[in-house]
Amino acid sequence: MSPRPRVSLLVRVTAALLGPSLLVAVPATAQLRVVTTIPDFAAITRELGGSRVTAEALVKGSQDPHFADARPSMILAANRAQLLVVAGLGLESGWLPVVMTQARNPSIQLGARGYLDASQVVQLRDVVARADRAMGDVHGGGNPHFYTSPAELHRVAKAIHARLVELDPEGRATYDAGWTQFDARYRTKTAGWLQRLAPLKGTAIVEYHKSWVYFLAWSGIRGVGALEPKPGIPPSPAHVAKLLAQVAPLGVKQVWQEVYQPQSLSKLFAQRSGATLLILPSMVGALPGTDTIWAKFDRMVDAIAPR
Amino acid sequence: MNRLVWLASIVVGVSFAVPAPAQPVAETQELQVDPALEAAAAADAPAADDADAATPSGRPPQMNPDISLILDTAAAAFSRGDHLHQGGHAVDESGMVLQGLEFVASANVDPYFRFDLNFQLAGVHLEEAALTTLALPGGLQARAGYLMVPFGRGNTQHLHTWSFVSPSLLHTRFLSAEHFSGVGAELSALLPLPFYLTLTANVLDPHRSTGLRSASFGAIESSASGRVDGLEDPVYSTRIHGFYPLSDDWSLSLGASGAFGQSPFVPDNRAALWGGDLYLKWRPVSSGDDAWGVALSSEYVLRDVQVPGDSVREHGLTAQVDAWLGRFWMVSVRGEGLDHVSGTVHDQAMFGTWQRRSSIALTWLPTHFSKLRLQGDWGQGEGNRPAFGVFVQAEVSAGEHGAHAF
Repeated sequence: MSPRPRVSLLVRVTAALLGPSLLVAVPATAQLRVVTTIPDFAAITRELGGSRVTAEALVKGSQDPHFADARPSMILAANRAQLLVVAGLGLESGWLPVVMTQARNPSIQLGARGYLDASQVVQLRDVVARADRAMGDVHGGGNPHFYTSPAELHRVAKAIHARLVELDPEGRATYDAGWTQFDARYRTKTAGWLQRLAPLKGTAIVEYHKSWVYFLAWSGIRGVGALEPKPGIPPSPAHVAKLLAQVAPLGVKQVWQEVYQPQSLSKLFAQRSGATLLILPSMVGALPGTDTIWAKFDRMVDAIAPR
Repeated sequence: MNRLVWLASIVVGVSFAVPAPAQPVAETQELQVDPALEAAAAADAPAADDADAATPSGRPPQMNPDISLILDTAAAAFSRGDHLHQGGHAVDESGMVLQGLEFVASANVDPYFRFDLNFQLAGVHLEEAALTTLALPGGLQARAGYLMVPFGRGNTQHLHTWSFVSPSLLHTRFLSAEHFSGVGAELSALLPLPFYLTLTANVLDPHRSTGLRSASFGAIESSASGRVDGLEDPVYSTRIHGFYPLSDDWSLSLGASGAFGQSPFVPDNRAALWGGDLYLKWRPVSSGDDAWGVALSSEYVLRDVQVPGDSVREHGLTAQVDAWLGRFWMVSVRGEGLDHVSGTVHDQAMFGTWQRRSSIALTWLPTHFSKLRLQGDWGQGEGNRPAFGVFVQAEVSAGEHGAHAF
């Protein structure tokens, strides 16, 4: 065996792997580095912390948060984070554990002050006493899609504010000012949204996936069925036909679904039922122009209750 | 008799007095407007300003590890009896086989350690049992226990993450019929760079009795002394792994690995493995079509083994493309080959000279927890005439199963 050529090969491979680092700019250092699983939490953090924080979401708003890839770039972000905000309830269980373990960052592990499980401050829905996969991909602790409700995100914002102050006490004035502004805006916006949605109270809609239960509860709109026969089980033509017959007397006005769900059966259902299919931004950034939670809910309300 | 009538009356009477337990919700009942939901909706709208409400999760606190069981069973039919061997876990003869029954458990032990176990109940053996540190400074992480060596991409992937029924030819020839693994320790560092780059070093105990599994390194029991005499006796491996998110939709992963140990043929002589791997994936998350995607993965391995009076060099290459056609279908194509480069082949069982194989697999995933696979193979090698193989595989996963690495 001749080691020399192989060492040379290893040096070349190492150089190839290290080379791109020279082309990547190093981001400016901020006071507090926050990483969140979904973009709504990052958007809230930016509003609360302004220039004292950097906030990066691991998944995009247009992405199904159940099935993200655990990209190593997520590990890098988690490694440098001082605060990790997660939705919890198993929403990220398919990818987040490996990110957290390989992050090599004790500050963001479960139980550390740099780990915030947003579901802990939410008024949970769809909590089941016993979860079984025969019931579909249920989340026993509760439905994790609470980020579709302004009220629940307001609670999450309050918890993020408290945690920012705890981790960065010197920035309290900034965070308090951010919270005051956020809270005031929330009240103004919520009043407007609820006013627009008030005429639709009691209106029957069908969901694709049970992603909207929190929004429905908040708005008073009625969810009367789901295209998925069980959570995570794809809609079948037979189930859709059955659902059509069942909801016919209820006068379903709209079908709601997220951007990443397939639309062929939804379109068929909407067409046959006389309902309107709405592709709604469940998360910040899911559709163009929805880069803040205000813009996200504006877009949702505009779609559900057009002026 | 009267007493019996009285008893029956009491039982029946109580049954009317006690409300019936809630019936399972039938699909038709989804159509009914849930009064509780309406009440909650009515209550929540005005109560939305009540930001002080903080409701803990409905799930009681649990300290148990996440536990899951994964079953893989398969059937195969080959056009000839002298077809290529399919490798560990695979169906090697026409017929049916229980490929795997994995028992997986994982949990954080405390703020400093995590524990992961993967036990193979089909052909009972340990695949992995490792502690992992969570709190070492400087981007360092240590693992210890029974470890799968991070050599290339494929060696640390369990059966249920494969795109094919059988492992790659180079995996079986150069790494192990199962996984290149053993009792050992590992130290890795996430380098302080603006992109992801890790360096990993690994040392394995070389005793066969402690479970060293390797297709390229000899156990210490076959050395001259039969025991560990110095630092040259264990099996060492090292890896450098970089990841480049080319965009939100494109990911590129590159790795280079090396492993060094004792030759299995000449006591106290050496063997070495060198490997390179690439993984390029496109998944259009930015457009909302993240159920679709294409990935190219490729591995190359070069092996040098000292044999009596000579050194044998071989290499192998595998390349596969996986295409996700929505949430429920995946098509995978693989081409691979092994070749002898230099040296005199002394042991056909180990070296086997050249082999070629092409495979195509269609996988249906009714849910995230079950899959059915149909695969076709065409393969040949020195000593094996061209042969076709057809496989059917079913897999189900029950319980809380941990996340997979990229």
